[in-house]
Amino acid sequence: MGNESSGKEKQESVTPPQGETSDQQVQVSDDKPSVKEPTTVEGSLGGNNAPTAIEATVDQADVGDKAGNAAASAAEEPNSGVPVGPPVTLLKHPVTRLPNCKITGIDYEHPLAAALASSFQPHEIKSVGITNKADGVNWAFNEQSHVISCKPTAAGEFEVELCVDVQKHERHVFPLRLTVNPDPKTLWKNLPSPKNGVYAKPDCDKAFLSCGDLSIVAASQRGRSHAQEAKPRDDDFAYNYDPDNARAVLVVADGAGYAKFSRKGSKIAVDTACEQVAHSTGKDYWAEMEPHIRKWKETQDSVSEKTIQKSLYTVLIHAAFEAKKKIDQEAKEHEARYKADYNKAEKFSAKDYATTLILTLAKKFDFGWFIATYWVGDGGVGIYQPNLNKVILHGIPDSGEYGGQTCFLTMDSVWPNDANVLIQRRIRFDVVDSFKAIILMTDGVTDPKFETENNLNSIIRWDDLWADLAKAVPWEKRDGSVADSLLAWMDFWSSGNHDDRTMMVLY
Amino acid sequence: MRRLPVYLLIDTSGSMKGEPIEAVNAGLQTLVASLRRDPQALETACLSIITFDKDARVVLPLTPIEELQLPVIATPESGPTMTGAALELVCQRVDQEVRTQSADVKRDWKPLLFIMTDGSPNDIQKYKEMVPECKKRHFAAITACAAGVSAKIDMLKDLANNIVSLDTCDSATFSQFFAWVSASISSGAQSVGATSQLVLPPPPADVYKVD
Repeated sequence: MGNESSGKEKQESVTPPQGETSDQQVQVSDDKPSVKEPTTVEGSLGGNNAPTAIEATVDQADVGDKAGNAAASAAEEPNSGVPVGPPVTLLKHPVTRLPNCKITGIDYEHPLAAALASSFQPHEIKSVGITNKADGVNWAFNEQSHVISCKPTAAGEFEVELCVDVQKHERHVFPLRLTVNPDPKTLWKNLPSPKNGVYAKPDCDKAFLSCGDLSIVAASQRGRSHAQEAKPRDDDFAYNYDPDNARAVLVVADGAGYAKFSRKGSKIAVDTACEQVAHSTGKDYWAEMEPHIRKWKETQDSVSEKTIQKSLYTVLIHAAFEAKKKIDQEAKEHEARYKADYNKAEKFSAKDYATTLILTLAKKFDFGWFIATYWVGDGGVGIYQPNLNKVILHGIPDSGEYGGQTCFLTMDSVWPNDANVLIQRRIRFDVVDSFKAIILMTDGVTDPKFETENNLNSIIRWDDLWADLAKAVPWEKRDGSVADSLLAWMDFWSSGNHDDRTMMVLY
Repeated sequence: MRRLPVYLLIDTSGSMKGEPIEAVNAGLQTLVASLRRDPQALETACLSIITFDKDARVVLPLTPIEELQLPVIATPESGPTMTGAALELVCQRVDQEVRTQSADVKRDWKPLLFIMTDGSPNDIQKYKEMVPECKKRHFAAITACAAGVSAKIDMLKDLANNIVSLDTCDSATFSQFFAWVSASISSGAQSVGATSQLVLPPPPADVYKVD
């Protein structure tokens, strides 16, 4: 910063910086001859532009001794009779922008020492202070550390002036501008979805079911991005427990954000798949399968494996395919209804009902738990075994090149003609001695909690998730309050992650 | 966090000098202010501004809305409109800045591209080469704005899947345009899981959709 104050500036008596400006949303309204607006160079004050000398002469001697405050006090006692010292040149610099304050209500601070050092020699500076403080920001300046700080209570643009008094009777005034972002939490609205809309669905849902020693708990919460727009929840879940066979069916689905009827797609998918699997896994089925499963547990041989996979093809893949067919049918029927109701032709297809599907079958034997999953789309499903420091991710998530891209049950591409390809890609099964929990989640939960696909395999992430849940969910109560707590937990805050969230746990 | 990258390409050729560029600056202020008030955009949108006249430059690298400080955009006295150079630059920036295809990082949403011009490209050869390159970047939407009567809409048709036109380059019209850009970004931020092309909200009165 140059010291270019020649003698040509206007001669006026100093109007000391006022203590405040009246409006919070200060938009640099400077009634003094002002300089052209902003341009900041990071790490410097006032950019590269030369200051504008605007005023001169101070009718008291000690400007600078106490910086801006001294001037302010001088203002209060304009006729204090202090002997007139040498004229002080007031130099106004262009606006400097401080890094934004991310949200209201936090302690903001920014060091100015480096910027001051780049503008002045240390011995030049007599004192530094701030004036012209805007309301609602609580500006403070530490004269030792040269850190400026504030605690804004409202969003907007605020200004404060940094006054630097230097040896050669100059006062440099640097207007500093700060943008304060609103706290996004205060911006989200929670608008109910239309109760009587097409395919209306409650904005949240929950369930608890005792299954012998174990329990099934589920919760589904509409995301803030939908609540903001009064849009319905697109996620859904379904479950079934057969106490005679100690067999559970767990299903979650996430309707595609862009598909206009995906809330119905996910509903059809979970209901159909759950019903189909429950229907096809009765006593006879297990009687037939038990020897193969037992043998596979002991030897992991490929013959048993093939037999189990083949049976899972008829159980899980058929159920998923039945769900897809039901969705195709619904699209056709809706098209016909639409025509009848509105006398207007409109095309609907399965694409309008696009949904993911995670379908898990779990059955207890005397030798352990048999667990099998069909999975299409994103989200996650894992068999959590913290005592073994292990999680079995029960399949492979589908993801695309960009965020949010995935595959859906309703796509032809997830239905190759080759049954083996389908089994290899979509079916997983395991036999485990025990587990802490089998957890199914839609991406509204996995995105914030796991962030990347690789992390779905990280036991540390699952431990963190479980620890986080344990703080909020009284698992051992094993009653409806567990579902209430899980639903309440599901409202957790995660910046940028506001999709519908659904979770189902067998524990 | 999953980001929504938004690229704004702004024509700063000589013809934009004066009121048009003042209006663009005011419009950008309005745009950013309204994005700050939209929680989804505030948390996910990132904005980059590239200007082009006799060459193209990044005046704002991809920056989250919460950290963003708008530069003041200026125009030279006169000179050509190197739209092709701007497209080349935006492709480079997308390759550098947009996070895709990795199991280890959180992938970004598909980026959005807005290009505003009041004339026609002077580097037609380059422009024609870069149109298919832009398509390869998988923008969720490429929106072109033909500002004023001299803007050549035909050239933009190859590039953009949405074209709007403004009759005048005054501040009221630009303000409407930028308000619409803001609404489009917000709708992009909300179309979670979009695999298809983004459908933009209907433009306001003085912003005409070109079919």
